[in-house]
Amino acid sequence: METNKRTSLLYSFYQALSQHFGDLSSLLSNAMPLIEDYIGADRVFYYDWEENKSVLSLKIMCQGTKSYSLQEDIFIDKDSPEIIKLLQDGIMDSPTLDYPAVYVLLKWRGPGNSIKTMKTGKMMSDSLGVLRVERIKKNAPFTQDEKEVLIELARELSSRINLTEVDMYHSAQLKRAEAMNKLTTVFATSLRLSDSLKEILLSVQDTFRFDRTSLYLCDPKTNEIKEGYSVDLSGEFKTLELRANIKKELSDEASNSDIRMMIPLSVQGKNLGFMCFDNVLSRTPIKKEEVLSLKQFSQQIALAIDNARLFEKVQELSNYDDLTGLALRRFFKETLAQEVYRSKRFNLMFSLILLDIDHFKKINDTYGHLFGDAALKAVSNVIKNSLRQTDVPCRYGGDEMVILLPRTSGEEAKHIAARLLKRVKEIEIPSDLSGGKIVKLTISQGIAVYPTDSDDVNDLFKCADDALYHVKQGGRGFYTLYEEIKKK
Amino acid sequence: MIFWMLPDSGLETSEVMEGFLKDFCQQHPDIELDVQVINRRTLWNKIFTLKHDIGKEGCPDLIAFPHYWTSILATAKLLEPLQKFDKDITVSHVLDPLRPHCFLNDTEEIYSFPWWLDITALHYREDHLKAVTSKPEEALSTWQGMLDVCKELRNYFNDVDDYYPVQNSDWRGSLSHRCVLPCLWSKGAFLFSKDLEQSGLSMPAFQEGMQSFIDLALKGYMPILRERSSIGNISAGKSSLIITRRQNISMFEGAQFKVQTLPIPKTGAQSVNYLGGINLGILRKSQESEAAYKLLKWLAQPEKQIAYAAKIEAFPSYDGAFENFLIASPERVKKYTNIISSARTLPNHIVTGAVMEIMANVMGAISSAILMRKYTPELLTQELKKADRDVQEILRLYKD
Repeated sequence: METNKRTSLLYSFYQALSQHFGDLSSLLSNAMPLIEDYIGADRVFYYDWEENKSVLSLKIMCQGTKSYSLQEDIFIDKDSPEIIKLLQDGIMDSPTLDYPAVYVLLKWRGPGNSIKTMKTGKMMSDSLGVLRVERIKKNAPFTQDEKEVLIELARELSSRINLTEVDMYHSAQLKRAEAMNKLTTVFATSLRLSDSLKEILLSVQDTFRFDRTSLYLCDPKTNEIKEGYSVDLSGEFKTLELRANIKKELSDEASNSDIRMMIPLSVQGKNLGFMCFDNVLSRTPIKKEEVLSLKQFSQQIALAIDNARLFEKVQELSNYDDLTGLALRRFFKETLAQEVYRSKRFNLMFSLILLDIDHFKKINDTYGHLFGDAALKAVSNVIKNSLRQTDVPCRYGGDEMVILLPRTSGEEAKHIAARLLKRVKEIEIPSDLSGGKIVKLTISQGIAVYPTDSDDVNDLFKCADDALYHVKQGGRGFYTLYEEIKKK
Repeated sequence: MIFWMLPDSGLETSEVMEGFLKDFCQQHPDIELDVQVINRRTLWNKIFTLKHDIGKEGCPDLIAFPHYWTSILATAKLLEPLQKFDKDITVSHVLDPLRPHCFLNDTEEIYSFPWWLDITALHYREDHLKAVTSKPEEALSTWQGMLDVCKELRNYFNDVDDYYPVQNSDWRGSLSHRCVLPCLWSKGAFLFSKDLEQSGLSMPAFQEGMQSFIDLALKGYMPILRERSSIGNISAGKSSLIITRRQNISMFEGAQFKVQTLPIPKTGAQSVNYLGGINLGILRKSQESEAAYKLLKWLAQPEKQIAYAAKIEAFPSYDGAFENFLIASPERVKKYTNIISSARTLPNHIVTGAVMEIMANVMGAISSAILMRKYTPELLTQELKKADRDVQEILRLYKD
């Protein structure tokens, strides 16, 4: 081929490829028909050189203007004379095909992709590919001149592959950065822990497209895993059953694999738990840049979880009494209002028990505040341990307590009151607080029933208070229904 | 409307399909049809990304896929239940082994419709076999018998360049992870138990079944990972046997030689053949799902199934159509009656595709090791142990 013709051919190839191709297959689908045309070939194949498997793996084949995604693996022995020649000269004839075909080497430096290459600390790595150019119909061997042109074209294509890979890497980075911004906003606005966990998992899944993303949280006190959640390819948020030894299992699996990954979540040295990502179903290796992004991202996730936990703690503190652990008046009133709404809507009843510790002021004055606090704590514990999960006890003020008993009739409330009284009578407060003296506690309780006694919250409280007053008047240490005193 | 299909007719798939769909396009001039051919590996990878990323090819409306992928596609919420288009749709006429593959696990929602099926069998060149045995049917009834025949053939064709007794039918040129299944099943091995509690890869019978198949390449009777069609080709006289899913009834028509068909030689107590199917499903993201359903229904008609199956050397999947197709060719009846009766298929479960991917990786590693002369039975044990752990993990994660 004349030098001028060769130069103009290479220039037109350079010009045709001087545009942005979003991905490798677009670039190859454009470049390969040109090569076919310039060289007068019938078909051009592109193979990835997969060094770890010692195979050339077919990705795309062009025939005329059409491109096909096909599968074929060809074994390569790096020590064979043919392959040594290909690596040295950049071109070799097919060793077995019975029609003219040449292999042309493509070599470029691109952003390495796998987790394994990351361990070497190199951001860029050498990649190899091969073009197979065939004249199956024409059956005319390739001349030395044509081979030289093919080497030049392959060199140009290699540099274009390099640029396209760097472009792809950058746009993926940009996409992840955008996703990270979006997620940071999501996390900042989800304060409830349960909402945050769901948001985190769904967002990570949506951004990184793993087969499964799971999150395990540790108990802050024991450091043991106490809960686990996951989102898989169905997109559903699930609570996981925890197996003993799960942390070790997951960590062992992740350390030996490029389809699984585990990232610890910690804030200021405090271990919160860990996240796991896997592609065990698709068997797709996790990419190096995904690992890097996830490592940065895990810091945000850990902060979001920590914030949500703190928020819940603050909420708990503002809703519950520090000494007794019972709900405070404000929280109780909100709960009561909800219960009234539900009972009205579904035509249900509920009961209120208003109670106080008999002679509490005298106890306090006689044995001191420490003893008084211990008495309050002991009575509260009895209450908490004697109720159902749906019942809501509250410290209403001083030694006065109130209990909301949803879906409970007056008679049922009386049974509960009797149980409470019996258990309070059994309380033993350490005698060192009372100077060695055994002090017995009793409580008085007044019960009102919604809607029988009243369907108004304030009135209902008054009914319970009246019943309590009646018990106190009658000698304390007992309980009664408002309905009973009304009859009297 | 975009239709993604597998390369049923190799490089000619687009042309074959476009020709086949001419009638449909004439009947529905309002539907603009774009047939895109996509290979199995790419389609598998797309399952996991299509929900998020449509890609430059656009979102397909109708897809053809291996029958045992229905569950995973439905679980990933990629497929639309077909009752949405026709509440009375039924799969009662579908062949028994393929019917469960239309549903998502044990639900009653139909997510895919069978299009065609194929069955692996052993085909051989009558003229070649005559040279080494007077009773090919008997000689090829067991795996060891087939290996002995291969040895004889190898000696007989010693002076033919690039001759291999068995042609490799695997698309990738590797040891086929689908063709190995009959060897495993015949030994009584399985990929995973029916209750999904146990992987079968660590069973001694599994390793034995694998070894039987690997022997074809290890003893140099079948080429692996070589340039396709360069060597060991039946048509070119450089091979005598082929294990394939194609019927090969018409493939060798007009050839100078005759090809006979037999069940896969048994490695254990009895011969088992692999039955695979291709189903059609409609994408949830489809913007033209009604048009896609029209095409699905058109392709699923018994007469269209018969016509297409004949074109690609497969079988129709409708009960009646299958029988008619079989009866229409006395040669087919003769060749396939025994093979069909002993055919088995893979279960339609979310994990099946992944387990088959693991098998493909094992086969790839073994193939490379053989060519690097590093293969030993211990290596197979080691590879199967690793794969067994992976399968156990998948079962643990996805059995529910």
